[in-house]
Amino acid sequence: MTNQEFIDVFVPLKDGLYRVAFHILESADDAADAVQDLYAKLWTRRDVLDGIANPKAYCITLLKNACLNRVRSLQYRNTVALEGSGANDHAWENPPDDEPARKLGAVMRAIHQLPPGQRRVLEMKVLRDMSYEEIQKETGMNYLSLRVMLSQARRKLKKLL
Amino acid sequence: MKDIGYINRLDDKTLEALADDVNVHVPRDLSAKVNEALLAAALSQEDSVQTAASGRHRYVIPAALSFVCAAAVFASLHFRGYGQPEDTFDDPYLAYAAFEQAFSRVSGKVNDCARISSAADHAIELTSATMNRLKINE
Repeated sequence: MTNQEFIDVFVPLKDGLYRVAFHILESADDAADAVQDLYAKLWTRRDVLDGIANPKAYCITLLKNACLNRVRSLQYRNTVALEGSGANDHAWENPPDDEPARKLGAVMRAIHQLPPGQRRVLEMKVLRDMSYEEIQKETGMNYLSLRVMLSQARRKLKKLL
Repeated sequence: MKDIGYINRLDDKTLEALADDVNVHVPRDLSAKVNEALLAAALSQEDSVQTAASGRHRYVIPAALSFVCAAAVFASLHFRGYGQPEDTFDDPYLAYAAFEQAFSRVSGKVNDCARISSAADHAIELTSATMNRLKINE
């Protein structure tokens, strides 16, 4: 599945997915986080998404499982925190399998700090896979300014990470 | 937050009905948040693909050099008469001396290989650093 196909098919499902997450998690922030995590996971699997007959049902099932994991994780943290048993006190803070999620969170925070213009062109280039000519047409920027802006965005991200 | 039992009992039909319930307010910035998540995933993936690719290339040249060195050692031993060594000795001291001589030659060649491979490693790192710098300036 191409980037644009993914954006056309899966991104419009976000509102419905948020509603499901909000119903289960009963928190707007947690629901938005769950939806963000789901989309990040879907993006990495987009090569195998072509065979999905019902994207909505597929996403809802994945989201339900993600919410279940969140609830379980929170319950586990609460249990460990209540038990407060020496070395295990901080075990939940850095679970070993949490590394990719933490890295993704760091990248998201870094993206959030980019100026809107840089974020926009980076999105067009990386996410929408648009050519320089297409971005030039959409933004009205000249080629050199566009290259400079993209380069600055990437450099800033590297610096922030 | 709903309890695990309740979540497990939610069937597909109920979940789809929840998704279609337009009375639930969706935050305005959800779209931006989703875009951020997708961009982060895309950038992370781009980064991991590049790392994996450079990791693979890192071993191609040393492996090729090692192969060439091994072939050179084999060829030099073969053409200097080690291809058909004397394999029987009446005197055990002569046999031991022949062994010792053969292994010292192999050891020397192996050391040469290690030196060449180490020099190549430095060159690869330099190339990789230059490529990264070019990538940053792109």
